[in-house]
Amino acid sequence: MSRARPSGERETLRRCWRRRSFRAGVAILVALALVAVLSPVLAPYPDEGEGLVTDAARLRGPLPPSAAHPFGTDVFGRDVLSRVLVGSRYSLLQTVLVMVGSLALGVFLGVLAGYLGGVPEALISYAVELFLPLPPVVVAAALSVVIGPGMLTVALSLVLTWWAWYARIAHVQSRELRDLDFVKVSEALGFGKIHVALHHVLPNVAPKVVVQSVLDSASVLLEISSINFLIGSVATAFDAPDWGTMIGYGFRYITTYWWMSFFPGLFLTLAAFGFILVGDALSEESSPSLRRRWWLWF
Amino acid sequence: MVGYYVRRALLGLTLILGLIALVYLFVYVAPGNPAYVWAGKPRGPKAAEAIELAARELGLDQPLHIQVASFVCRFLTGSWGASVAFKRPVAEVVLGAFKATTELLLLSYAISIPLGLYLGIFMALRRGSAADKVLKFLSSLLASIPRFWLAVVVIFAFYLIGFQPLGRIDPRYLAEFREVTGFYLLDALLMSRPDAFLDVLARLIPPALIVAVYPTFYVAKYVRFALSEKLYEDYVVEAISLGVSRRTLVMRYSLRGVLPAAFQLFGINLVYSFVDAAVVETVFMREGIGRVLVEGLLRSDYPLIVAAFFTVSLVMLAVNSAVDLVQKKLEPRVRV
Repeated sequence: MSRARPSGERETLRRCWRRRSFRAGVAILVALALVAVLSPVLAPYPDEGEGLVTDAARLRGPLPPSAAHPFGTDVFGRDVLSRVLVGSRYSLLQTVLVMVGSLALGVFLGVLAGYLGGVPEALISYAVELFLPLPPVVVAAALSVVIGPGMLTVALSLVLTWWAWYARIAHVQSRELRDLDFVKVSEALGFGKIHVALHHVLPNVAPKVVVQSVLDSASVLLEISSINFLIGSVATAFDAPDWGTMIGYGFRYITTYWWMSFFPGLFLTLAAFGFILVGDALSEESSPSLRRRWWLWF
Repeated sequence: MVGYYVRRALLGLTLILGLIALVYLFVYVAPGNPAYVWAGKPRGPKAAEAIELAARELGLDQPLHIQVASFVCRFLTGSWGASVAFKRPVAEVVLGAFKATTELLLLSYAISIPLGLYLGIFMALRRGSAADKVLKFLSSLLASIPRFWLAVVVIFAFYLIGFQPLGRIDPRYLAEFREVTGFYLLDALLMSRPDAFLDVLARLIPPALIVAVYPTFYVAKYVRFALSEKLYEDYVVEAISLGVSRRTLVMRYSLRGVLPAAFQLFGINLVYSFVDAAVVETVFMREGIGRVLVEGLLRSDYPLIVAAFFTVSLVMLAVNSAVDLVQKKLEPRVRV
């Protein structure tokens, strides 16, 4: 009786699809996802892509871009194209991990705070205020020392700082819902708090938060890559072909082997651009006042 | 009204306590042995001794309440120990680095606040025109270029034309240069050497511009959305019919409703820009928080990293609170 019209979301998506920028963004993201999935097949040297310094690579040494190696080869002689293709897997996986983790945690706590009110609300909003301004890079540095560096550490430190943002949005949204009739009625009908939160509050909060998370995904990707860049810039061996790490490691050789850090950055930009195109279209189409197609001006 | 400020200030104070609790967790609940991590994961013949010393420094042999009390006292008085990586007191290293990063951030926000607002208003007033479309595409594209990579590319381009603005100041000025405030622009002015000032500025501007890219276009995009939304409200039609000039209408009335949120966005983005600044300054080989973190990671200098974490988070908390207060001033309707 109370769900937000499901047709509303479908309608939004349909209108988004009519935009060229949205279709372009989806195309970019689908292509990159395919690359990530198929990278072991697509990469010309899959072993080198995963970080193995093969005998052939050792013989080859660092080569500038050529027909055999379109993006050149790195200081260990590994094919940069293969590393970039395989790297898409690590970079995109980390982004998805952070998005899912912080969405789940943030929406859960935000709905809890907004719907229950009272002590839980006070505690959770305090935690949000505390965690929101923490810069992820310092959290990542601290965690890297304590639990060791790695992809999961970086993802964890981002989840620890990003969830607060979604909790705040979900909190504000569900606080408004708390006093609305359909929530009151279902409580009066004797449905438990958990049932009402799950079936009536959550479905009305989720779309807005999800749209926001799509809008943020480019920032998440870039932030992850920034941290990996810092870690890569001091790494002694670099095996994980994450884009940020590759740029960080390759930066030492910028004046001699510029291709090591240039091409991963191109892919990073492309991925972020895809996320931004999709996010912009979604946020504009899901807000009725921005959807207007006519202009009043003088 | 006054009640709000008091409550916000109290919240700020309790947040500082929360932050100290977080730092405590980071230090004392490190998996394995906290003393081992605090000592920088030592290896070799003297390792046992170093761990012993770290344990005594942390007060691990004391009862819990004394441990907490001494920790809080130590942290609030700024005696954070010595840095292994820099061979100097941690507080000194972190404070100096923080000032360097702040100098960079301040300049880039001094560029991006006016520019972002101007671009946003410009786009809102010409919504749907060719200029708007081009700017919108450009802002999406520029927002998706990773700043650290942009810095790498810019460094390479500079290298090709033989210009290397690395570091914070040319070494030849170092003999007579004295750090007074820690902000090199001011210090160079105090030196009363215009050439040194220009040199510092020339090294500061490229990274500042790169850091400014993101907040500028992010806020421009927001102002474009929000302002053009405001321009559809009824009072606008009425004001037009009453003959209010375009300038007055936009600057006096419509923009009033957009500015508070725009400033809050700048505040939120500051955390994000801080990460950018830390990374970009590492690329430009400037001293700063980025370098501190990198060196700390390289040598597992945990006291240094924890101090950096505390300082940076504290300042970000303070900035967030200040932004909230300013927003309250601009938009009295806001609730706690």
